[in-house]
Amino acid sequence: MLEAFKCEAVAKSFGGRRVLDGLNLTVEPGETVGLLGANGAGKTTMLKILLGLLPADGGRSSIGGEPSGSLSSGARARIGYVPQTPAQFAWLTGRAMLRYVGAFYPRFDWQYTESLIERWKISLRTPIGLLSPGQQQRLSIVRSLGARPDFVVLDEPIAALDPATRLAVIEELVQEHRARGIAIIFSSHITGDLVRLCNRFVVLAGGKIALNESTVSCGNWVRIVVTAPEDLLRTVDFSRYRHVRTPKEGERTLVALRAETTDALAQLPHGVSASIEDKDVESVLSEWMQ
Amino acid sequence: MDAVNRHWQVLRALVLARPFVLVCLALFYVVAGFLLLMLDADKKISVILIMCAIPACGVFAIATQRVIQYTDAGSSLGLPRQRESMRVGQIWVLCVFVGIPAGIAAALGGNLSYIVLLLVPAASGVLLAIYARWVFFVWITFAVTTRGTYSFGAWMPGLGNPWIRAILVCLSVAVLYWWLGLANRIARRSAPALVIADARHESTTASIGQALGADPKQYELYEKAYDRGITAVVSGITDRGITKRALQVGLAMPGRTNWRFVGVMIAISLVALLFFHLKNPNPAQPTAYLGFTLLTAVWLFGQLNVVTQAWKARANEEALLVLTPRWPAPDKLKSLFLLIILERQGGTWAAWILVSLFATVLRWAAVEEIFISVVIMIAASSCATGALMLALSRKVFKEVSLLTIVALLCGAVGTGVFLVGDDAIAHGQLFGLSLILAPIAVGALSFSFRPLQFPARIINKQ
Repeated sequence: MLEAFKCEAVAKSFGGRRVLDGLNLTVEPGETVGLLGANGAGKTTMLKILLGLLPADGGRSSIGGEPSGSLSSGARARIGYVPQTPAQFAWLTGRAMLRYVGAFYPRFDWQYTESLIERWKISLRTPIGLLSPGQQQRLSIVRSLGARPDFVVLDEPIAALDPATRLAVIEELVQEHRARGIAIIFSSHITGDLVRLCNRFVVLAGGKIALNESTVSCGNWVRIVVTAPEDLLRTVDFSRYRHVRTPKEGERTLVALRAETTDALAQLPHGVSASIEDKDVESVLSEWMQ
Repeated sequence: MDAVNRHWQVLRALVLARPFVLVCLALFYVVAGFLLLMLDADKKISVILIMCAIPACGVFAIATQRVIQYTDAGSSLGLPRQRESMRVGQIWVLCVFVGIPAGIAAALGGNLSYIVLLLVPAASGVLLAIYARWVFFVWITFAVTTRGTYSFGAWMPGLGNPWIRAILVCLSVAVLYWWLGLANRIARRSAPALVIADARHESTTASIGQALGADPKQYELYEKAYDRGITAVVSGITDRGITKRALQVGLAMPGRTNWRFVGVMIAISLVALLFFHLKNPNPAQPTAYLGFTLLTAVWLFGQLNVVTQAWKARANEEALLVLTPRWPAPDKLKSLFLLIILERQGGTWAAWILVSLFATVLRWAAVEEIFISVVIMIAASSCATGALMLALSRKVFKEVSLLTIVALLCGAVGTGVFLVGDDAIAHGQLFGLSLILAPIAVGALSFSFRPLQFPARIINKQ
């Protein structure tokens, strides 16, 4: 089966600044990927290149096996996209926007759209520009899901939503994924939501994929902070750890498998003190973003 | 000290934050300084006034533009004390660029009634920033149609009359008083609009009308008409392609030509031409008809600028539309843009042709003027169309594009060369015509062979 989304050696620079540097990513049909990265890491750029909205400086990208830059009408009918900025078509009312955009899809699912509108209490008769960011965001998601897409790209779609609606959106996506096996790339800074929805985490840093790991295995990791004189730390072999970072001289933060932590700590030389910061997936994943 | 720092920061942001402005100001004041050293005492005051009047006009124009920009941005973000900061900055601009030179001139024993004339360039700068093209074109129009009677130079001897000085100063004070309240007015206009957070206000038509501050019955009528409009637009979106109207709705571009407005403009133009014809019936002199043509050329630019602005402001919506299955292929999309470009110019050309016909038949304009006007209109259309086509077919959209500037210059220089004709330059008319048509030719070539930039990719060079 052809990959849902694929990036091969994708590169992009803005004004001499390399934002994406030979990035490779493959998302199989039915996979749900949570995309993470610091602000400015290139998440939106990558998603736009993937969707063919921005030309890459190098490399190739495709959706459903078709090159992003020249998607056929059939391929476009299978794509759902929720951009970062929610206020689209601000001059139209919600209903007019849905009728207008829906007309571009031969099989726009009005019944499903209306059920989402009902459940998420969306204003349809008010100009979109007057709606709160949360309402605009809901409309944007409904517009995207109403087309019943197979490949969904959501670029920080829930930042403006209240917790209840956020959960409702995630649940809806989970159900769609279970029922129809849609492939999702979900860019967000809210790791908790990604844990609920995604079966894989991808962290973008330095223009490349810094981490590409299943949600389950990320849940088995712990963060360890070790401190010792820098001279001593330089002699320690950290190669067995999943990730090593030097926040400052005399300190290392490590990521290790929870089950192997005791063994790993026991092998640290005398004079190195270690503390396990067993908080949550977010603090572990943030190690790759720094 | 904090207050002084803050005031300095605002003044810097309003006027001095650009190296180009600083260099220009420095040049002016250095030259003025040299002149002051070299001239006799009785001429020093005139030099101070003239050398400070010119930068004052520029500085006030820049400051006005920035007050509008910063207040608009600050108010929509809800920044505190934005208006007060702007007002303080404006007072500083007034003190530094009008107060200090006026003080120096007064200390040198200048006539107070002349010194206060420094307020006039300051007020002119404000008006220039807000009504730039109208001030410029009205001035040019009057200068052309009255053979320099109302040009700037013609005003200078009039300043000897104390009544004229008094009127000018009073008008300037009024403009500057209005200017000091500008930030307040913009802040009120740009305050965050009504935001509706849930769907409860839509329970009935009455409640939604109330929430939106509209008469419920009127709102219901409007909503029905609006729905009918959307139904018509949606019916134009099929597997075979989309209509021009469907594209215009998606990009929030104005639709068909407003013929009623065109009719009103024609009527106003004819009345104005009649007025000037009665004032100056001698057909040997240039008439107001040339001024009308210049204004129509500006209007034509404005019509196509609407397309550019809509296209570059709706990049997000364009990104969504381009991913839909019924979105037309690039070639078809180009045809739609071409239709829109032609349609946008229709009203302007119709108005100009009709007024020109009247002016010719009624002998309000000489044949030579009609000829000049035809050249001006063709050049304007060529430049505006060429610039838009170039913008649409570039890789990215740049706010300041060298190619567009060259296209516009070609049109302007070409018009001049064509009108000067073969007498002054060998093959002048042919060369001029080539320059006039160059923008549209280059634009059309680029538009035909290069991919359409859709969605728009904007690069802002601040």
